Amino acid sequence: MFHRHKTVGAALLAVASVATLAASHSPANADFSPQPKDVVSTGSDIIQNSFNFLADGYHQLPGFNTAGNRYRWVNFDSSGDAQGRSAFTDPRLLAYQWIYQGQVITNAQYAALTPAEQANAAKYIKQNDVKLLNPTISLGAGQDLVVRPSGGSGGGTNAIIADDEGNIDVGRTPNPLTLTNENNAQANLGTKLLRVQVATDRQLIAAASTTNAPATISAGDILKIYSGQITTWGQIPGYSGPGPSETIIPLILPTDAGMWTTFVTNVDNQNPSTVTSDTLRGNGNSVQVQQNDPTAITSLSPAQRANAIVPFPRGRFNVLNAQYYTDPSVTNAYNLEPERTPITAAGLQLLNGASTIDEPVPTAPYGGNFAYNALIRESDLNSNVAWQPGSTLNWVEALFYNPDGPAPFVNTPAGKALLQAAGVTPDYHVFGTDLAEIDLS
Amino acid sequence: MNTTLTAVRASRARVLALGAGALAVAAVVAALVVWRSHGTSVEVPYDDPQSAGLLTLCSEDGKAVTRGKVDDRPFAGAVIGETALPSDQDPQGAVATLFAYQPRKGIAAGEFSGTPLTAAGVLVDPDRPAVAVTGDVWSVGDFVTAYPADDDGFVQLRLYLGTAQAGTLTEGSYDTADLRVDGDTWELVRGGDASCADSSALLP
Repeated sequence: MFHRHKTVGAALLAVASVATLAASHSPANADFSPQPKDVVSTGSDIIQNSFNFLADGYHQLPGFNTAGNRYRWVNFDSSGDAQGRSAFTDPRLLAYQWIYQGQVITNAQYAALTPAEQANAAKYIKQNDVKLLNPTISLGAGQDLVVRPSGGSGGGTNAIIADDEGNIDVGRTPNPLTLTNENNAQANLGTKLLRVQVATDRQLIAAASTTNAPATISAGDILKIYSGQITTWGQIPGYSGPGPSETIIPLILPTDAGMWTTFVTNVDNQNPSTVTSDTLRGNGNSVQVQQNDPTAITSLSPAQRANAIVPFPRGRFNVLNAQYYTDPSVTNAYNLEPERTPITAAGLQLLNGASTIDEPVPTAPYGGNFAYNALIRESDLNSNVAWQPGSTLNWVEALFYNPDGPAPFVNTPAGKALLQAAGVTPDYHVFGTDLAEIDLS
Repeated sequence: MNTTLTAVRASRARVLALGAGALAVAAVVAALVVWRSHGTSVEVPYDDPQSAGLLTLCSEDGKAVTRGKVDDRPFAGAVIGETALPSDQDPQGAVATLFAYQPRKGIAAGEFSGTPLTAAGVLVDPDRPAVAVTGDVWSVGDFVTAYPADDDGFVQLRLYLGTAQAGTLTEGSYDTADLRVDGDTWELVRGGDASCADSSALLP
């Protein structure tokens, strides 16, 4: 059958060396229509990068699919953008009016202007008319299109609970399951859900590298800043920075952003009073920005930049500095050099950036851990259907949780290396259908 | 006299015994060299056209590992390849990762099911790729539990190289070793003969 000879090996090496010139690596994180038996994950945008890495690898680190197995793990990004930005409808298609000499005028009034006057008029659309695009996707090869499962709980927890067609195998979410979730899953799917936490991230406060903000801001002061009780740096007790009279610009996130929910939860956990989303949107100097976007601060004028703060996840900060993301404002076509211009967190800093422990007291610096969870049907764990040809493992056992066998991929050395590359801390826990953590020792 | 004759005979007998012993040791060593270079009489029942070289398994104390218990964890301290990183690849930050695959009768090697075993390890010497096998890596028993060694007990190891720019080089050549599992033991049927004495120097 097989008889190896050095000459054959040398010849193969020569051929292979040539072949390596064109060697491709792990599949890119592109949209992909899954084939039957491929494992499909959707949901949280903050978690999507780490799951992309786990599925397909990152640079020199191999992912699960790198092994070349017949069936793949297909991880869909939440918004259609690998960088997690929201897409919006084309504003050129919306009804518009005009602004002329500071006044909104109708199309009829615009038509009545002279050409010279029209040249000084500008089109105007209402921001409220700009809607999220809700991009569509095919969750299975050859299937009709559906609205892409979004980030946050909508595309993670809620989508898998609603998925009675079995298109989604794994829901990504930073949130734990609730009893209501479990009951709904049982009612809709005929099975409850397991929660497998693969890593821990931490949300902190980001400020410009050159800032008037103090080195740390307590959770109590964050509450006062975002609620509007504190508006200048000098009102923070013990402040000794360079801008006591400067006005703080608290950057807030859209209410449907997962990181806004995490922020509200963390501030609430660290303060004795009940904190709601509305509480933290009470500062009149607040400016809304997209979540996890470093340009929210760096694109501001230097004067504004020094006074801006925003809740920001450390994992995203780390991956930014690894130059994973591309600056789309610089490069708009792959066939033009440079092919990409990385965007980094240069110009940003995380306050109390090395902290790891949650301190539920208002005097502690603001910061809160959150989990990278995979939600999985219990029926899939109990399935006797092996996933890959020749294997004994079903896909849950191979990838996420294998109670009586070898470690699942997410908890192997290769998997943990990918999570670290994604800027987060590998941290493996499994929670049962009763919501309690399962003892894995 | 008798005593002297007896002593001489005894001395000659010791010399002969020592000589025979040395010959036996030499024969065993030679057999081992042949076995490690060319395999045992057991034929590997598959062909992998991408295999360009052989992997040597080393213990943490610098000795060759050719057999073990399926539950040994780690089953080796390091694995050394003999095929250098292709010269057109950037050696800066290049890595090696050990994978295990499940040969199946009638199935091409490119269709074997498998999984990464180790984390990617940075290459100290791109001409002598090596990766550490840590205690949290699947044992041989773990692998055959997940991917039963149904093809006469064989398991194939592959050492994939990778770079930041090119990713994991799965489509080129790689080095391999073939293990055979029998009950609660495994043996290296086809592997390399690299020196393990300096294996630790090949690891970061």
